[in-house]
Amino acid sequence: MKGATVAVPPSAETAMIELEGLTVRYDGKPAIEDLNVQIPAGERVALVGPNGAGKSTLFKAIIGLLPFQGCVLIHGLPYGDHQDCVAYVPQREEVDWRFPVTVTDVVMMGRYGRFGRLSWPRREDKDAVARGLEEMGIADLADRPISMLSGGQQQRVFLARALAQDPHVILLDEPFTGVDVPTQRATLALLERLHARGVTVFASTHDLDLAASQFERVLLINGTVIACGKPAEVFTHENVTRAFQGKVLMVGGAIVVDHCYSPHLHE
Amino acid sequence: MAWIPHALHFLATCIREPLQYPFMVRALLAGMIVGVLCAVIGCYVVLRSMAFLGDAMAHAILPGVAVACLLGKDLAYGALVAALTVALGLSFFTRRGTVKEDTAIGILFAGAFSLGVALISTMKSYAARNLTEILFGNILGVAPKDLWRLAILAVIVLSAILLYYREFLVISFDPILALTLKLKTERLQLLMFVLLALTIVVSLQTVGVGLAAGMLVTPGAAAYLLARRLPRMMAIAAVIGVVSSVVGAYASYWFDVASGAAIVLAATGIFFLAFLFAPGRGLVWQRASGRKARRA
Repeated sequence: MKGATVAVPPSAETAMIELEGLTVRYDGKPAIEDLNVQIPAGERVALVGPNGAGKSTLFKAIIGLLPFQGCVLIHGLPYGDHQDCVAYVPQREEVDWRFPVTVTDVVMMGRYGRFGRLSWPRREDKDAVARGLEEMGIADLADRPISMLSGGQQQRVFLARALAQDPHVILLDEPFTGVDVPTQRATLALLERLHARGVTVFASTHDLDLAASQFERVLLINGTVIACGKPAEVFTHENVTRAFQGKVLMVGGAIVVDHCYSPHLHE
Repeated sequence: MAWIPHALHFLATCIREPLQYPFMVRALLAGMIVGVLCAVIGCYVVLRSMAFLGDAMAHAILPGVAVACLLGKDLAYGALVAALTVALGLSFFTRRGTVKEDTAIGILFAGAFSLGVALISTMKSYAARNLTEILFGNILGVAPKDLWRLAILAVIVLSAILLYYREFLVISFDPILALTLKLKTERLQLLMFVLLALTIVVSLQTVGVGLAAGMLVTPGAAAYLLARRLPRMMAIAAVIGVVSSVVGAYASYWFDVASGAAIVLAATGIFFLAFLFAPGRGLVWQRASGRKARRA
């Protein structure tokens, strides 16, 4: 790793993300209700739960995209109170990939909060972009229009952009879904390195195996917190059954979940 | 091949002759200003799928024009006030989210346009003469003070687009990123609506409310097929806008066609050329490379 300049938070003991009584409603119906959790600084946390459990909603509330009740604290401060220290990696479908910009243009967007309106990108901005591209192994695609990228490459562009933001917290919405194996490996390696730099990693995933093997902590939700803690503590038969509502099998100690199951179809 | 010099000479005369009239020079200048302005902001209209909004906004300006006409004031001021009202109202409505956005736009603007037509239809003598001009523009009737106004508005809008280039790029490509970067998304959105409204006021003179959307969308759409980065797309769109305006102005002079229609038709022709022959994306190109791929 060359010249990574991520500020390590002052004390590893401070809870980096605190959610208190978080409630988000769509048309009056709660998608998340009274969710309380503390995510310690510098940990890798996997967010798991069935479809419709409110995983994306939770992320969008944290970054202030959705109105919510309750409290979101980062570094002990409400979200609006700090600079752009939170990077959010959306699902790939959230943007129009036919937009006429190059890979470098997109990654540079991660730096837009850092330099003034009338100034050009500074040396350090260009370096941050180059580092991001390098780290995600897409330096050779720098000048390519984004319309010519594969799904895995699109994902890497988003990750490179998040890196260029030099975040203290990185939120990733389903980073392992629908990407090729090399990209999945590259993503995991990146999370490892971010962890080593003290960045708090918060990623949602459908893959319970990945969640158990690659993250220190698992947050299992279904509208509210079912369990939060070390993977072995969270993935008990009882918790998983409660979260996934019966569509769970224990096969010789392994947990099998049917993700196609939708509780709403059976009401 | 003795006819070639004659043909060239004839063409040169066709181009030069109208230039002896100041109104034609003004028409060309106005056309170029509108062509550049509409095309540049039109790139955002194309990329953000706001074509319907642009069209609706242009139509909604009509009541403002009608009221100005009734009060005996300058029509452009009426248009300006109406356009700004529309921009503000729109950002208010899209924020609420109670009605689907395009439905809200449809309702509001059909209503506003009807109000405009109703008002104008009460002005018996004035109506018949001016309504077509308001609806479809008259590039050959640009007065010197109109030209100044066009130029000033164009400078304002273009500098704003330049100044807010990064912000507009982010809110168009990835509004969620804009939010995490702490950009004032709603204010930027409003600013873009206001710039769009000003552009439409400017374009009223040459293409009218009925065809403003053509000038906004068509050059940008053609340029999208020819460019891979936004600055280049804007530059190409501006060239297409200027060429269309010039061709339209001459057509209007020589064949006495409605200027707005001639300009938009020229732009449409250029779009189809790009649609067929754009390298990599054009229909002909794709067919050809498809055939090559099959043979290989």
